[in-house]
Amino acid sequence: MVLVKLFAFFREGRGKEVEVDWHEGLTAGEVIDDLGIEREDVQILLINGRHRKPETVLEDGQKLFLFPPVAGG
Amino acid sequence: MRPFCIRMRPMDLSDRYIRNQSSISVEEQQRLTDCCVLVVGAGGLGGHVLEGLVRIGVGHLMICDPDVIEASNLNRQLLALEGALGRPKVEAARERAQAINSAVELRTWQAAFPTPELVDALSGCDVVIDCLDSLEARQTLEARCHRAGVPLVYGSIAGSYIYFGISTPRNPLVAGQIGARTSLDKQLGNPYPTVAIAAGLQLQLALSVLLGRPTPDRGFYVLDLSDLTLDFVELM
Repeated sequence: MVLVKLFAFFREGRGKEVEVDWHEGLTAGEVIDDLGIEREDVQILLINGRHRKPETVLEDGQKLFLFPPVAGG
Repeated sequence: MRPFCIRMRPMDLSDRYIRNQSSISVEEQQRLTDCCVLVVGAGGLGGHVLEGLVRIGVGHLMICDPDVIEASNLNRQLLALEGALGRPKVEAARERAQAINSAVELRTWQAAFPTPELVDALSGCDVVIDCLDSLEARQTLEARCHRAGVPLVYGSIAGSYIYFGISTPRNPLVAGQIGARTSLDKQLGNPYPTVAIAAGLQLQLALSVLLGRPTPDRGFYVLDLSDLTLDFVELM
């Protein structure tokens, strides 16, 4: 199982947290796809509190945090 | 007929900082007059952040921005007045700062960070405040701050959302972010409440750094004003 925590407008229609089934070789990008999020709309991707890229392979029990672009000032 | 005479009395400003107490002690207030802060950007966040620093009484301030004031700034930017359209933002910043607190020293650059002069100025600062509007510019600024060993108060906004925190070499907040397309972000716009609150949060963090108060160690905050939820995101 991978716990996915969503932030800002990624929560709309998905909630704050989602649990997804884990399998060998599962990447963060595949989880993003399954959530109906465009990969290029992810500005911050954290796996267990570390910045990672969508290509990163997940391990069972990890936490994936996804943040959309919020870049104005 | 007696001549009409107006006598100008010197202004008594001894109470200027009295309402800062007890949030800021007399000793801390004195320390702030020796502090130096660089504000990078004089738009929505930058205008409010500068206003706060000037009113709080931070003694040495610097601000840079290449832009002039446009009509689309009027919804949220403190320096944007109808009569100021077309004027450089830093020029408006200088006038406003001087009008509020003439005891504060302000240096301005009508330029985008980084220029050699700005990089040099940055290294002498106690804190830098990120009031930029793109990830790429933030990454450049963060790298320069880390190299100079100067804490960066990070803040970025879209719609009702605010990401903010204190970036240090031990707690890099922007370097690892991915260059996402920003069309979604742009669609949300920058409404006034988000701008003013984000700037207030940045000011509070900057003050904590300047006065040596406890600050979050590793991580950053995400605030959603639509439902008032605040998350602290811990980084490893």
